[in-house]
Amino acid sequence: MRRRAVELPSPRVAFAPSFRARLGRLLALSASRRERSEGAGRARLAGGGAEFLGYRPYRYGEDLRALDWNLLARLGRPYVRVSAREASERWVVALDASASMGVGRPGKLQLAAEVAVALCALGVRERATVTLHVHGAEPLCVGRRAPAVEAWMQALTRLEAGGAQGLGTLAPALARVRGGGRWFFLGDLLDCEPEQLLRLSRPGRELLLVRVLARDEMSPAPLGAVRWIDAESGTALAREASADTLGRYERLLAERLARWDAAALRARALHACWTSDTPFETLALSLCARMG
Amino acid sequence: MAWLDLARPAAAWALLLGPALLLLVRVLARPPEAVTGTLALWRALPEARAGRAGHARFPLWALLAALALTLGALAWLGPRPRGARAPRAWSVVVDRSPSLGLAYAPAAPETRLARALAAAEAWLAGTLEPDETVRWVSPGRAPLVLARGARPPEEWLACDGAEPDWDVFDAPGTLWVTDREPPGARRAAGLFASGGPAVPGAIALEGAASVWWEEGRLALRARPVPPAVRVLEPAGEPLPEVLARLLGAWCDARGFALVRAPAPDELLELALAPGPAAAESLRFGRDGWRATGRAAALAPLAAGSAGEDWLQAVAADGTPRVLVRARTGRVDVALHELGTPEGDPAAFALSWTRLLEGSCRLPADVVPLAERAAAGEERHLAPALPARHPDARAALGPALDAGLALAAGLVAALAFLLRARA
Repeated sequence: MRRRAVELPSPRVAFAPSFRARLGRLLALSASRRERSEGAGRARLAGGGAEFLGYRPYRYGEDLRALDWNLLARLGRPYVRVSAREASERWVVALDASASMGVGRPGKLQLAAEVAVALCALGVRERATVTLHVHGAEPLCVGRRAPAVEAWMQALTRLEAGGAQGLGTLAPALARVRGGGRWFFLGDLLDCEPEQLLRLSRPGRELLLVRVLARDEMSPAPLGAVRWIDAESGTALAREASADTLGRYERLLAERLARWDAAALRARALHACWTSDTPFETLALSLCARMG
Repeated sequence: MAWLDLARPAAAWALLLGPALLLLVRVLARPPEAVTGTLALWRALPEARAGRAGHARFPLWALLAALALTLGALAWLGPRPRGARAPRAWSVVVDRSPSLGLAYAPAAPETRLARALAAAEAWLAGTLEPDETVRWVSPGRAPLVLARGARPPEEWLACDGAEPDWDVFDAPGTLWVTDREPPGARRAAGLFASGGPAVPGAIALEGAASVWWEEGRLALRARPVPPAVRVLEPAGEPLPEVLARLLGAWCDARGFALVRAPAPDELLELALAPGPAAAESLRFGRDGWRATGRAAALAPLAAGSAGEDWLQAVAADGTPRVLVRARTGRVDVALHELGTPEGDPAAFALSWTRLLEGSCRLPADVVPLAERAAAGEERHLAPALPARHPDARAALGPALDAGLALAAGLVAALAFLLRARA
């Protein structure tokens, strides 16, 4: 094994000119899907001294007093009433910017950043305060209004994948962050174990563990002998990328993903895996469906 | 290598082509690199064959291609067994005329011959191969064949001879060693001429004095001792009286000392052959005189020896008998009895005087004026290289080259086929 400086394939984030248009279409699409599933949820209803904004699916651990029993009786699914005060909940987006996120074409960091911006836009639309955490408890960006999306894009454009500080390192710092109804972890989740993130679970807090892997990490091509170089440490290993070896590799990866799925399920969190060449809209819409 | 010669050693660089190809293959065949975040998973898998066996393993086609290149390079180099090339014919023709014995420069201890020889030998040392020999030739000397670096003995190189007939020796591989460039066109021989300024000194004898030449003027200088003519007579057998009287008169007239013991400045030895004289009376003569007498036998002249049979007679049985033999510095006489010559007495005296004058050697310090003249500039001109005459083994060389080239082609074709199938 040898160590050396690693030249990452995609260390930086660059938003394509079409990104804003795609983001707009995503917001419109998610809104229409929500209307179809919830009906006229955005109707302004007076009551309770708080502005009624609509409904959202009930999350495990929530106060049953917010449950709309009528809707439960009518639809058979639990929904809670969302007031303006509650809509101003906090979303926490934790983004892994370690060197391993610079792997893949497009890079994992690129997709994670695009999803982070999409979450910012979705959160702002839901009148939530969205904070982006990359290096610790201090947020890199905070989004409360629509123009925050531009600031997020600029901040993420300046970001560069590097170092070995992934979400496993970030998690203890995030433990000091209070509140937050939805916590999104965007990264390859390769530097940590499920418990490191899932211990951040709290009543009324939804954890969504979004794993992004490069296509060559998910299903490597049969290239023969390959020198695999660790993106963070520079450690190199010579391994055969043959059909037999690739099968064993994919089994090992599947076992790892299954372990994370099981752990997340036990903690009533979401763990899902995408490749970095997935359109961010697909990933965001999937999260929206999960969030309701 | 001691057992191998190369016909084209300049092509040795081509031997690097094979290793260079392998190096190139190794560089190009390095496994591709891929940056990943899942190294922990790969670490759990078995190591690749290339990594386990090391990087020294080359594909067979590459090894064959390198072998083909090496064979081709060998064919180009042209290996030959040592000795397959016949040694070249080298000759050194030495001018031993007296001018070569003069000092190269007024204060220099070395002679012109030594200087010219040193230059020629230096060139030979840098040109000849270890197993080659040199044939040394000089007029009046038996040729010598010596190994590279060897020099004829000093007596062989004594400067008491004559200038060679240069045209006879104008051939490739021949070095002329002299002090000045010979007249005439030199075509193939090399020239190693010492050159040198004029050397003043004695140029002739005038009785007991020397004729001294210096700065274009001549002067007589008395010699410390008069030059001597030595008579060698067997015990109890004197020279015939006629000859003894003639010899004494000639020495008196020339100012030479007539001695019978060794003298420091001997010009001539006149030796009477030991007897006994034959009983048969012989009749002989030359230059207008005739006489009768009895003579002992002179040994036949050895092959290669200098000497002239000056007087002969025919015995009654018809066999020729040599009576007087002469060479520079010595006259051998077989006549033990000599009657009064018939005919003009002056003819007899003049004939013998010519013999004695012509046989005298010059003292070492007396060198003719032409020899003492300036020899010009020093010149070193290499000869044309002699051709080799290959022997039977050398004739195999082109066949060996062709065989190597054919093998290289076949191996290259095999390497190409393997590469195409890979």
